[in-house]
This record gives sequence, C-alpha cells and structure tokens, in this order.
Amino acid sequence: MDPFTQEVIHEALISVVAEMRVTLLRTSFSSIIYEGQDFSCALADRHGRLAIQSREDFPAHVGPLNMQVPQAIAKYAGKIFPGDLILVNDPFTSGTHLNDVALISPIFWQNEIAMFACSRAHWGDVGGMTPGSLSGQTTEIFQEGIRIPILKLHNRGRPNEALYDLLFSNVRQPRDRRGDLMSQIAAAKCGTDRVLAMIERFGRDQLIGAIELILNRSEARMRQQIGRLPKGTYSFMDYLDSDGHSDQPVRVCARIKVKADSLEVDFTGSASQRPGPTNASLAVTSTAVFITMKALLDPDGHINSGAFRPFQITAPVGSLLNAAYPAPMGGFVEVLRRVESTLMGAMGQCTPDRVAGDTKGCANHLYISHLANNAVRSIHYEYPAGGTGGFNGGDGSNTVREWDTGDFSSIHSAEIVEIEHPCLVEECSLRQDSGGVGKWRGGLGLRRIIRLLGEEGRLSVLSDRNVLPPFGVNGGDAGLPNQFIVIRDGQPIKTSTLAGKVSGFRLLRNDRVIALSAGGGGFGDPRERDPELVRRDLEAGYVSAAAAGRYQLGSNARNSAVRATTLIARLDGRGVATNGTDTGLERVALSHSTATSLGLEASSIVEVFGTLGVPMRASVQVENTVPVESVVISDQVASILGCSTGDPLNLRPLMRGRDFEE
Amino acid sequence: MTGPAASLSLRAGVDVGGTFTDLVAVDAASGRLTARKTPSTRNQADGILTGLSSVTVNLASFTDISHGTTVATNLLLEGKGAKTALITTPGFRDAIEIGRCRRLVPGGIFNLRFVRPTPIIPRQQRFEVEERIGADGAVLTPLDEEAVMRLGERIAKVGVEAVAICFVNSYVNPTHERRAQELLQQALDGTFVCCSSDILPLIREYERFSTTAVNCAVAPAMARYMASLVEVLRSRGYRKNVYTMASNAGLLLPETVMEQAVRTVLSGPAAAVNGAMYIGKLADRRQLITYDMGGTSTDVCLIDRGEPLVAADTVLAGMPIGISQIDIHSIGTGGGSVAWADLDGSPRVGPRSAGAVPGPIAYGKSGREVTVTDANLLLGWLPEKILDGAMTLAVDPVRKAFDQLVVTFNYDRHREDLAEGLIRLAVASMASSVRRISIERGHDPRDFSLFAIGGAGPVHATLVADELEIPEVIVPPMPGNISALGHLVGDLKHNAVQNFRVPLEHFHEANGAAILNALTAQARRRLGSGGTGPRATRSRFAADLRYAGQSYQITVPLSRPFAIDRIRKDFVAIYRKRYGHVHQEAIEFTNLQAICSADKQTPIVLDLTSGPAGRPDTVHNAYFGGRWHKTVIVHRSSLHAGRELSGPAIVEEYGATTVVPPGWMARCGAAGCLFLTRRK
Repeated sequence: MDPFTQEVIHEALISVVAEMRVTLLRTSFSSIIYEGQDFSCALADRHGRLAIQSREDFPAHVGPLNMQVPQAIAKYAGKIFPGDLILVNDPFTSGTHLNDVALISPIFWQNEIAMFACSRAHWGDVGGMTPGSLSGQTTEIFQEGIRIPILKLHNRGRPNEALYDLLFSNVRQPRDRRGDLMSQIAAAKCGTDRVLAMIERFGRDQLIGAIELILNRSEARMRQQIGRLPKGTYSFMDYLDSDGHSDQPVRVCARIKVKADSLEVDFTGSASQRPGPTNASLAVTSTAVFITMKALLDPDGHINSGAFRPFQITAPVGSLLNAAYPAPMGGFVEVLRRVESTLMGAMGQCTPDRVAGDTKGCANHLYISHLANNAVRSIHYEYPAGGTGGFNGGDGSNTVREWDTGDFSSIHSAEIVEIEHPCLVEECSLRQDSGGVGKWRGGLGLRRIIRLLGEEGRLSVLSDRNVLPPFGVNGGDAGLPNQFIVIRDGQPIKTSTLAGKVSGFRLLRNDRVIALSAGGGGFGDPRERDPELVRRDLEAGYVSAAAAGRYQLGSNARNSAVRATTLIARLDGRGVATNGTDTGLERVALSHSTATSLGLEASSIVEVFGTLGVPMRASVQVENTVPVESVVISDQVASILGCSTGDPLNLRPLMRGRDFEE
Repeated sequence: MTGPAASLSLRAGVDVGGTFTDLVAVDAASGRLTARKTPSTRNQADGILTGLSSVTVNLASFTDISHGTTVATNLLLEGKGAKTALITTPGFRDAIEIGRCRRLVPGGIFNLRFVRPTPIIPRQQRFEVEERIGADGAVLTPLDEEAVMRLGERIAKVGVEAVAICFVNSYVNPTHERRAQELLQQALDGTFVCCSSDILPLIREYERFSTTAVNCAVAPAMARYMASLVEVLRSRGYRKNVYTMASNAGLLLPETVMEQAVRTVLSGPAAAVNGAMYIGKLADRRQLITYDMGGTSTDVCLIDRGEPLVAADTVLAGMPIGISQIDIHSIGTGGGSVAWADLDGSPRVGPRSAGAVPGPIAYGKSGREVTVTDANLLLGWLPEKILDGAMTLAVDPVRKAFDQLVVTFNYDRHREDLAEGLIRLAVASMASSVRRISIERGHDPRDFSLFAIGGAGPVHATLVADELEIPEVIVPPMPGNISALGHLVGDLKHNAVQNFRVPLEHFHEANGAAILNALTAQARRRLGSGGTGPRATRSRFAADLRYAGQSYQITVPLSRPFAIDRIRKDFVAIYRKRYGHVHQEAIEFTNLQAICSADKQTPIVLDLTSGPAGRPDTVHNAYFGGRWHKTVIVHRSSLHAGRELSGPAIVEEYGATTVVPPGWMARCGAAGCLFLTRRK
C-alpha cells in the first residue's frame, strides 16, 4: 500500500476516536467523567486487537482492551450481530476495577465485523460497601460493586431491559449512571458511523490493510528501540505500603531481560494476591509494562497492539499482578503504578540517564460524602495529583498529571465544590519542601483542606506511598509521601489503622479533611545543584530555608545536611537472608554504634544505593557482629544493586512526612 | 485594487503580523480599495504609520482606523508579561499555579521530561489577605482593610506594574474585590489594578483568576502601545478613534483595550473571520468554514448562520482564558512545513516549519529541507514567477531535493507522486482540524462552503473540501489580506454576561427580561463614549443552558420576548442535533448574555470587483492525480464576473494562488469571489 494512503487512513481513524471522546465527554453525568475526564475511547481491529487511540486517552484504560475484546469475541463466537453492544467491568476478564465500565460495539460491514468501537469510563458509583465503591478495606470483589461479566447489553439493536433493570438497581445515583451509559452508547454510535463512512471511501480491504501495516510498523519501531539498549538482565523490587489489612509492605519484583529486539519481563517473586484491594489483572500488569517501556524507549510512537508485541510478560497466577477470583481489585491503579516504579528501578541500572524520580504512586482516591437522614446526598470525589520526578536536565513539575496518564483534571474548582456540596475549601496550595532534593528537584505536592459544613459525612481514602515515599534516582532523595488527615476540634484524629486506607469514616460538622499529595523524587546528587536554582526555590518558597541547607556542599560525608552516609558493603552472609515472604522489606544489618550514630534503630526503614540507579528500601537489623562503618546486605539486594563485598554503599534514613502544621 | 488614493474621506484596516503589516484602505465615496504591505516593526505603531503614510501623507484624510495587534499575544507566547502582583483569599495563593493539575499543553503523556509552563505570576508576587465570601454570596469573613493597606505598601516596595485582585466566590459577590481595588488604587497611584469579577464574572476560580492574571500581564504594555499609537497618529493629523479588533471579532474602543487587553489575544485571526463573515454576507453565504493557511500554521473557524462559533475555554501557552472568543482551531501545518521520515520510516509533514528564514527551497534563500510549498512548485501548482513578477521561484533545486527524498523514503514511485503524497498528509491533518470545529461541534461540513484565505489556503482548499465532501470553495478578493479587510469592516462589539444557576421551570420570564435589559445597558456603556456621534446599536441575546447534572453547557440564541417554552424547545433541538439523543433531566440556566454591536459610523461600501485590465493567459504542465496535465494559468484580474474556468487551471494574483484541479471548475461571481465547485 502507498505509505501516504496508509497515513491518511491512520489520521482519519485517530480523528474518529477524538470524535468519540468529545461525544462521551459532553454528554456524561458523572463529574469524574465530565470534569475529571476519567474515560477513554479506542478502536480495535476485527480480531479485537487494539488499533487506534488518541493522544488524550488513558493508557491504563485502553491497554487492557487488547485482551478484553478478544475475550468478548471468544465468548460470543459466531454470535455477534449488527446492533449488538457488549458491556463489561469484570476485572477477571481483563478489566481494571469495577468502576471502569467498558462498552464494546462491533462495527459491521456487509455482515462481517470490520472493527470494534470501544470506550471505558469510570462511573461515579457501581454499588458496593461505600459510596463511590472504592474502599481500602474490601476483602472480596463483591464489596466493590456490581460485577458485569462480558454481557450483551443490546442484542441485534434491542436493549436487554432485564440487564438495564438489574444494573441500575445495584448502583447509587442510578439516574446519573444511566446518563453515563447513554453517553458511552452515543460514543459507540459516533465511532460506528464514522468507520463505516471511511470504509465507503477507502474500501474495506484497504482499511484493513492499512491497520495491519500500522500495527506492524509500530512493532518494528519498538523492536528497533529495544535493540539500542545494553543487553542484560536487570532486577528490582519495590513495595506497596500495605494491602489494606496488614501494615507490612507488599513486594513487587521484576526481572527484565533485554534481548536483541525484545524484552522479557518476569514478575516471579512478587507477593501472592492480597486480601485487600491492591490486586490487578494480567491485562493491567501488561499495560504497566507497556506504559513504562514506551515512556523510556519511544514516547512519540503510536499506541497500539503492534507496539505491545515485543514484550513477553510473565506474572504467576494468584500473585497480586495476576489475581484470581474473588480478589478485590479496587486498588488496581496502585498496583499498576508500583509495577511502573519497579520497572523504572530495574531500568535505572540499564539506562540511568533516562529514568526520572518517582511520582505519587497511586490514584489518591478521596471521597467526602454528605449524609442527611442517613442517606447519601452528595459525593465529592477527587484524586489530587502530586509532584513529578526530577529528570536529567530539569526539575519535576508541581501538582500535575503524571507521565503515565491522560491530561485530566484531578481536583475540582473550589467554587463548584462549595455550590454542590456542603463543604468549604479552606486551602489549595503547594506543599513546601515536598519535592525530593537532587541535582534536579522533584515537583511539589498539593495541600488541600476541605471543611465539612453539613451535619454528617463519610470519608473514604484509597491511597499508597503514604509510608514508602516516591523514590529519587541517581542519588536524588525521595519526595514526601501522600498523607490524609482529619482535624477535629484542632486535633488530628485517627481515621483508620493503616495510613492511606480509610473506609467510610464518619465525619462530623466542621471536621477538616487535609489531603497532602506526594512530591516527586529528585534526580542526581543534591550537592551538584546549581546554587542559583536553590536561591530561586527559596525566593518562591518552594523550599524552606531549613530544607535548602540540604543542598549545601559538605566536606564531611556524614554531613547531616546531605543525609546519606557511605558504608562498606559486606556480603558475608552473617545473619542477613533474603526475605522469602510476600510482605516486609529486605533487611540490612548494621552495628549498634553505626545505627545509633545515624539515628536508626531496629526496623527503621532506610534506602541503600550505589552512585547510579534507584535506591532499594530496606529494614534495619541491628547486629553487634557487624563491623563498624559496614552494612551487611542479602544476596538479593547485592545482585540488584550490582554490589560486592568491599564496595562503597550509600545508606540514607527514609524521610518521614512532617506532621500536619497549620 | 492597488492604485493610489487621493480622496479626503478614507477608512483603513491594518493588520500587524509577525513579518508584514497589511493595510487595506477604502475611499468612502467610490468604495475603491487600496492594499499595502510593509514590514512589521518592533514598535508596531511605526509599521502602522508607514503603511498609512504610503496611502496618503496627511492622515487627517482618514475618518476611522481599525487595527489588529499582536502585542498581547506576543507577550504571552514569549512569557514577557508585566510584573504583576496577585491578591487572593487565604488558602488560594497557589490557585493559578495548581489549576486542576492538568498539563494544558500537548505532549505530556509518556513524557518523563515534561515541564509544566511557568505560572504567569511568580509565587513571591502572590499574596493572601483576610476575607471570605461563601458560595451563596454571604460574607463569611469581612475584608481586612488594614491588611489590604499594608499589602499595598509591601507591593509598592516590590514594584509592580499591575495588581490582580482575585477572591473566591467574587462572581456572586464582588464587593470585597471592589473595595480592595479602591484601597489599592489609592495606595498604588498609577498602577493598573483589576478585579476578577470585572474581567470574567463567572464561576470557577482558576479560570477567572488565570484570565485576570493574563489581563494584568498584557494590560500595561497594551496601554503604552495604544498611547504611542494614538500619539503618533495624532501628530500626523489623525484625531478620530483608533479601534482594535478583539478576540470575539468585534472592535473595541481604546479605553476598553487598555482595561481589558486580554480581549485582544486573538486579534488577527478574529479579523480574518470577521472579513470572511463580511464577504460571505455579500456573496449570500452564511454557512462558512474559514480555512486560513499561512506559512507556519493553519487556522480554521466555523461560521454558522452568519455568526462565528465562540468558545470560552481557550488555552494559550498553558493558561486558560475564559472570556468568550471566536472558536479558532490552529495547527502547525503551513506552506513552510517540513517533510521528514519518522523512526519507523513513515513520511511526516510538520509541525516544524522552515519559517521565513531559511524558508522553502523554492524561495532560493538558504532552505535545504523540502516543504509543502516546494511540493506545490514541483507539481506546477504555483507559477514560477510570483508577487506580480517580483520573485522567481527556484524549480531546479526543488527537483533535486525531491530526488533525494525519494531515496530517503525508499519510495518506489516518481518524485511527483511523492510530492502529491506529502500534500495529502498535510491535507489530512488540516481536514482533522476542520473536523474538530465542525463535526465535533455538531455541524456537518457538507452544509458549508470552505472559505479559503492566507497565502496557501487557495492552493489546497479543493483538496480539503474533497476530504470532507464540502461542496464549494470560495476564494475572496485579496485572500492574503483578509485580516486587514476584517478590521476595516468591523463593528464595535461587547458581550456582557451574568452567571446564575436556576432551573428553567423556576425562572420568571419577567426576571429574564430585566436581566437582559441590565446586561444590554452594561454592554452599551462599553460601546459608547467614543466621541464620533450617535451610533445605531444592535443587541442579540443568548442563554447558556445544560441538563442539571451535566457540566458542559450549550449556548442557545434568545429572541424577545423572553419565553421559557421556546428556550426549552431550542435547547432540546440543538442538543439532539449535536449529540443524537436527549435526556429527561431538568434543564437549567448557567449564564445569560447580551451581545451588543454598533457601527463605527456609516456603513462601509466596498467595490470588490473592479481592478486593472487583465493579462493574457499562459499554459504550462501541472501534475494532478499521478500524471501531467496541460494547465492554463490565468491572472485573477482577467477573471471578469461570469467567466468560468474548467480545471485543471491555476489562478494567480498578488500574494496568493488558487488551484483548480481536474474535476473542479471556477466561476467569478458576487463580491468579486471565485466560486469553485465540482464539475457535474
């Protein structure tokens, strides 16, 4: 095919998705769709392979369609007809979480499927144990709302009224949800009409041929980029704060094998699926791999299943990255983000210049609902963005959508909040000192205070990186973690046993909910930062005078201003074994005197790192047999950091978020 | 149309562009037009003076001068706004920096190196002062006037040119903002102080604050510029008003420009749309899509029933501007867009442009990279001599460059096929742009005429029309000077808007009439005091409505008397047209607006059809659809009314070329326009 015809078809198909988006956006009823734009549209080819998405769609929504549409085709093999609409939100057939409802619409040309028009939109509520449906304290998928397996919503153009009735009997605010579904149907109709018009113009065979070429080119392009990486095997481990039930960190473990023109990613060693909502489907895990590798290797290329092909992904069934029924999945975004962080850690050894400081690491779902007479009157829902990471050549940005997601709003206008809910937005400001220090500083997080003016309310939070903050890279420090606090009568009160996981906490009039989002991680040694940039940060108040001291040059390696200490690594197996369980950090052993001099005690969390790459988080074990000025590490930590006995190894106590100050 | 003018009653439209200042003057008695092009100058007033003086030395001959300026736009794009302080409600110091946590500039996704645009007012110049208004307008915390005074002293020490007062919920109760403005104006004599409730009295603090901050950033420079322009024109004998084109395609009086400079950020493109509306009316075409393709970019806008679509959610350099402006979609595809091969070998065109320097290879400067203009030349779509013979295009280097490109792309056909392919790519992205302002807004492009302007618009218009099945292309007289013409024929215009949320069924019709009267009076005040005598004003009204529960609103034109039933019917009809379905939900008002306009003085009369005698036609070869065709080149001046041309044909004129491909025909008709249609 003529390459120009192919490009013209490609451009036209992208404009079809753009039109579907506009249609959905402008007619929806969930504020998270119309204000938050938490939805995506895409076109799949006749085999169900993801073919086209626009530049504005959310990769985590669209990626899983690549497995889900073929599953829908398989379920209704030979029984998909013109006028059918297929609805699904089930995470166990390649969905995300139950709030994300996908509508798949076959596009028929002369009695044959030509393409599929798809959308996935986050409904404001799908039932379940708390208003808004997402909670940090679920133990089964049934608590997260109504589960819709792959089902025909319409059959040959006729609505399945029973399904409509059942669906809207099981969600809160059914009127709005029905409006959302109508919007998705309108988008499907728009996509169908436009694709059919294109077939009229270009012919079916030419259209299908162009799509085939588009996918093949994307594949070749990704393979070419992989081919330029240093070959080898790179591993890393990162952790979720907790699973919502125990307070132990949950491990995500990745081993990346860079081959001539493909990548193998093996997640063996990651924790088994959790009793809480931090679980994900293999479709989500695969999407996380794609998102990270695309950002590192080919940010400008098109997003389609062709570009997915060079990745072989293994995640054990029953692990939190490939969870089985009936695991709750509400926190899939937290898992997705941690997979991305873990891969960033591994690639930090492969190509340290390209990685960037970590970000807030979760969605930060925050719900404040207002109750009157024991009934939910309104739900305020937002998901505050944090700072992005410093990178080679620039500071991270303040409070902005991260690199792995679409450009949608993540907080509402205060004036809209105050008109729609009995709330007063008291503050919406930048969180000073929250960005990780580094040659290139991490961006700042957000500080947002909302006072409940109504008599009674409920607070739910589903967040992560409240304990283990976003990491810095290549010597840069971590950003401050996410924190959620309720102040009653001037005092912070306990809302849950686990940081960042709150389920239906009862709010009273004048309670103040304080959301502090994480700052981004820094890049590079802070002592190399241009003093002029430090001065500017001080002047703007992004950094306080106290924190600016951490950029000062210190002749003493133990200068507390710099915080990191260089010790001698020992791998002599004296008492430090690799952590073989699902939860808990790797351990490092220090002598009592070394620990004391660093202000550490048993179980303190530290970062250990070489000069380049991403620090490992580990838990301190105090052993008097360890020589002074030394640190004993496990084989696993040594192999990840590429460190042998006698090598210098940096150790840094983990920054703790300051307690809330007025 | 380019002859000298000697009348004592001249009117002028001047458009200041990046490279050239275009001028069109009309002799009020004969309607005869004069066009001039002079280089733009650093102080834009100098270039304007040069242009006007080239028409007549004594500027007293002019009865009105209207112009478009890029002063505001350039300041914003270059990040060189005035040093401004912002005063806001406690807790909202960072509102303009945080926004909704959106990037608001393209290219962020998958980009680990994304950098958010710098806030227009740096953090150290943003201050909080004790006060709070509730969502219902009640005073929750009174304004701390002493604190305002102290802040005034502090700001005086910092030394700023402007102060933006931006309080939460001021759209419903502006008293705190007004009082703080009074106090600060006293404390900071001569500093520009403006309130968010005056610039944009609408809900959503971020958009309102951002718009106000942008206004402050551009107002001082605009005031200086306007003062120098008025002064320099006065010194040459011109004592009448100098009008400025606003982004809503209406003219502003100098005092409004100085207070609300943010209204001029789309001055030039708005004028082009205004020119198109004007010519469209003369040519009896009220459904137009303007297609303005220049050297580096293409602007498109849709005109529905004689009025341009407006948008209130424009973003410029990462900053939302919430005032109502014409809905122009702009993409980086122009005549100078460069062809390149992507990582996977796919051919691409733009958005990088060869610009004015080095320019396309065809211009024979230092350009080395193939551009869309080069493709046009290779195919014989441009005459080799352009600008009335003042410039000869370089064909040989273009051929060589294409031969090289055939190798780069590993292309298995002729270089001419490659050139046609590149043009198809450019056309595809321009067609997407047209889709955005038509189909995505609920309009079918097949119901419109494509109004081709700009140097490269008339070259590619039929191809864009083919892509979207648009039945007719219109090329107006002077397609390269349409902005200047748009200024010349502009009317004064002002939108007054009031925000409130009331369900349709709870709204009293008498109340609606009263609000519209008040808005009309407010808008008329903005149009008055011009000092050129009484002017007839016209008022239109519109309501922004939505289904309760939705966020996006639809603008419904209102006719008087104010009738709720008709408003509901109109809303439902427009909604259904745009989205294909309707809902059962209640409908609510969000805004009411009055759009008032007034003539500058007497209506303008233009003679668009006369011109110098024609030149003989010539014939050369041009490449269309994979083969060479004998193609006639006709000078536009010899296309008298009624003459028909069958494609393939090229129509040349000063500053633009119209391509009539095989299968199309061109006819010269009303208002001096060329009408291109497909041959039956």
